[in-house]
Amino acid sequence: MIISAHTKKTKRQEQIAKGFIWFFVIFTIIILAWIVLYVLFRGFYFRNEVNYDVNDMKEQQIILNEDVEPVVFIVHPGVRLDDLTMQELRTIYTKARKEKWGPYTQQDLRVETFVLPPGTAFTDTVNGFIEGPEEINKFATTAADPQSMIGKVSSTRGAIGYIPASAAEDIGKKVKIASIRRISAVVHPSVKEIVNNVQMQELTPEQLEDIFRGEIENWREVGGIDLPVRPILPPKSLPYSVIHEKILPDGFIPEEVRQTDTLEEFCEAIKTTPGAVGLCFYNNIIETGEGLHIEEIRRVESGMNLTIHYLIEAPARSGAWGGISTIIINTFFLILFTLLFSTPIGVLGAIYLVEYARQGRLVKILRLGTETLAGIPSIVFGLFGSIFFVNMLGLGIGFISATLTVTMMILPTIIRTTEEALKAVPISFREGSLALGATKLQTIARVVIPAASPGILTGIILAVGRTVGETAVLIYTLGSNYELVRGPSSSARVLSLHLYNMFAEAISFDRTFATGAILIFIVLLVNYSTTKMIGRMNRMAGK
Amino acid sequence: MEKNETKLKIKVDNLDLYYGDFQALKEVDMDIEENKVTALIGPSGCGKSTFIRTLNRMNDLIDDVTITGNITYDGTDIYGGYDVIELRKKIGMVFQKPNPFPMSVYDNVAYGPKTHGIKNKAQLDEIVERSLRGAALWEEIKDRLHKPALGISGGQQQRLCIARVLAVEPDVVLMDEPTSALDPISTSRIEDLIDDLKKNYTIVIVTHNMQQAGRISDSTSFFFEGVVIETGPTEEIFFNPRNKKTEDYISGRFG
Amino acid sequence: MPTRHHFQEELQEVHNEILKMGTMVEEALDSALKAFSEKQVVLAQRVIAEDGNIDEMQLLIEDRCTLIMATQQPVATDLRSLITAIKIASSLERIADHAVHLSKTTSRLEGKTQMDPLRKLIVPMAEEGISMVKGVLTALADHDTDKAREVAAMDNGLDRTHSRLFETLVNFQKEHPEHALQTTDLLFLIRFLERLGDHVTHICEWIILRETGRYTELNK
Repeated sequence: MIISAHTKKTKRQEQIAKGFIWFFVIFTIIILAWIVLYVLFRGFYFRNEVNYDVNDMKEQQIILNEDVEPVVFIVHPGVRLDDLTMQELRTIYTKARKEKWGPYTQQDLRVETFVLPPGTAFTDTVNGFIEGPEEINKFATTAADPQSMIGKVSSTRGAIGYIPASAAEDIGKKVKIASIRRISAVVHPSVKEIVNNVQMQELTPEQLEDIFRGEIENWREVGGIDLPVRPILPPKSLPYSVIHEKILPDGFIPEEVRQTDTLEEFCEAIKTTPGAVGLCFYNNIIETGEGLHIEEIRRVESGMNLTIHYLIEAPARSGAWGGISTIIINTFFLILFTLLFSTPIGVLGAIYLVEYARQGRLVKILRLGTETLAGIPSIVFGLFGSIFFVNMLGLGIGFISATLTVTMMILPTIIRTTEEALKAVPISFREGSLALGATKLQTIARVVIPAASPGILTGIILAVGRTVGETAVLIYTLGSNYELVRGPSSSARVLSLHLYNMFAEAISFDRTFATGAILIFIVLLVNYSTTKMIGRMNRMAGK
Repeated sequence: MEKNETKLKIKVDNLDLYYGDFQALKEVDMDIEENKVTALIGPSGCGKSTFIRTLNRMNDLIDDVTITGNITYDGTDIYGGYDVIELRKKIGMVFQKPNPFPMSVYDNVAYGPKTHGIKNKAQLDEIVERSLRGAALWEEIKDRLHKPALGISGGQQQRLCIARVLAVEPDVVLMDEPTSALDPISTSRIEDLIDDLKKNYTIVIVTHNMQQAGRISDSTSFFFEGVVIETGPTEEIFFNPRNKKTEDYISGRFG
Repeated sequence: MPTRHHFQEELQEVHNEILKMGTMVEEALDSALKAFSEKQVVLAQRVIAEDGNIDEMQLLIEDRCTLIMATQQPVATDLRSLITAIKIASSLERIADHAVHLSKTTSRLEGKTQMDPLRKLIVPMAEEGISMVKGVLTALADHDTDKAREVAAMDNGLDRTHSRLFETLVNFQKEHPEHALQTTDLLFLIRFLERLGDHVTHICEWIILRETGRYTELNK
């Protein structure tokens, strides 16, 4: 191939330039994609590490002692519960004020406790188990028998109750079984000593298993001080056999593990052996009353974050519980009313500037003003709105103040984009229409605006995008009541504010991300549907 | 010599036109005869487009235009005696670059009648078909009436624009270089169309293509620097023009 | 600089070729007359031979004009120039044919000294015709319509000369029937010479058409 030196050089330059551009484009795309995907990921899926006083070993059928049947705790299927700790169970039944499921399941739902009639050995044992040092509170309802218990729990929202294991065989789907976790790890005080800034923090369930299999011999290996590990097990008899089954499923007890024969021996061993760690029931610790030192266990909890429930339920406790349904609706209303106010004014104003006004000084000044306003930071608008609408006009913090302020903020954008869209319509269309004997108004309405509508729509979408993402303006004018907006003066929280609140008040990072994910979805949805609409308009026009 | 009574459709007397201080037309007189094709020729910037736009008052749209003189249509002054909307219904215009609206073919043709108040669908259908036939476009386009007008070829678009004008049932059709943006075959078709249209309409056509003027017009006027240098029957202008400047222009010695 | 430079050059070429053809015809006539009056048969033969060149010239001019009209779309004066050029070339060719007739007569009358007195009478008529031709060529070169009219007016004189000579020849034929063939030859000759005037008149009409755009019939 014949190619001159100069051409070669030019080609090389072009390749280098292309390489640069390609590199930066890929880089930018990766960063943007990473941001969006990260928010979506965190929004959808949460993964937290939580410390508990009990291990993650769950028991569905809880053996209390060798005399009575094991007990099964059941909850209404609507309660989104996997398991409860011993502590939580007791709190639910004994709390002086009526408890809500919020702290356990983030549901804004009252707990309805049910018990079986006292008098039977079973009931007394279970009630004693539940009470611990307190008493069952007055809110508990009594069910006559296990069948009736099942019936009541399955039909009462937020209900929790218990039945003997035998009755649990045919519960089917009517109620859900709540597993209980009651196995704690206890240690000798020496384990928690601080030496050279090193202190034993929590254990993971896997570490606990390794300890009792004899694979971890020194506390140093799990982040503690240099101290040999002395694992101790409680008696093999009921009910502690459960512990044995869970921690050493194949029954083989390594020689490093000391086996005790009675609970007292166990407690004594823990209290006196340096480096000792043992497993027992949570209630044992409270009962023996001498403060065996509980070693916290860290559990990984993960699951779906942005669920249908989150979208449908109304928020509670400032967003910590429940969902964000009303907030989504509030956001929608804000967009709707803002568009309702700003679109006519913006579009008509632009039409005047382009089609009717004499292109002299006045128009130039108006245009300069519009462009300046379009660039003003939104927080300045928030300030203005707060002073003018909220204070001076006395409209107060609420929906109407916010709508008016946001309208003013996006008006310049709409005017500008509409103007550009109108100017882009070729003069030949206008001339053609007028030459057919149409009036100026007819020409604008029937030819110019339809031709410019893709551009106008784009401007409106930009404005919507700004509205949805707007926080600074709304902080000062909208307030933060998260219930459904009731009237022009009610305060109402929207998605962006909700995100801000939850983040600033550290209510829940998971929910913050979930809200962010929803915001991203809304923007994607709006952009997608608009693009489709504009595409259809262009096809109709023959482009 | 006996001459048939030819009616004067448009009579222009002593027309002067100023864009601000610049005089674009000087003392222009012209008689435009009914059912004839009158061609306006001349080099760029000579005022022929400005002149033709005066006839349907399109110059009203431009700021700072001053017009003196007398223009009558069917005997009535087009400024004093006619509402501009009515005037433009009677005197239609086809532009240099085909400018169909971004709508369907049907909607384009129906646009004029609709803006003038005709709503009845059957009536509009009939008008659309009649106008498209009149513009020699019906056979080609009757199966794609509701497809976008911007999807057809340039020559078809220009005929569509002609149909659009015919739909408002004008008397006079003004054409400002209607074929200068088209290929030779489309040009021929439109010239044939003009030949046909003149039976029912009066046509004034601006063209910078001498041969076109020669081919289709009955009467030709030569504009130069805002002045009408010579007007006459086309055969005379092209065989034996009286004015040397006319001769030089049509022989291609300048312009 | 005037536009259509190439076109202007082509038009000029046509004009030059017409003039050139005219000169060739003029020379042919001069030679034929000289051969006739001085009984130079060899010269006469040469005139007959070179007529082919003149015919070719006419075809050349016609072709060139047709080509220009097809490719350049001439109008007005340019168009008239080309149309009249074709017509004039045709008339010039016919005039050249008369030089041939004259030359052929010269050949046929070789040795027929009895016709000498008649020959002497015909020479002035030929001279008259030839001066018309020279005149029209001048008018052509100068685009002179007045000169063209002048020349056309000479045709009347030529017609009268023809009538006189016709009578004379007819009388001669009655008195000398033994020379009937030669006399008839001469009768035809003067006829041709009279037609020469008609052709020149046509050329004058074309000249006027080119300059004024109007076709005028001269010498009705």
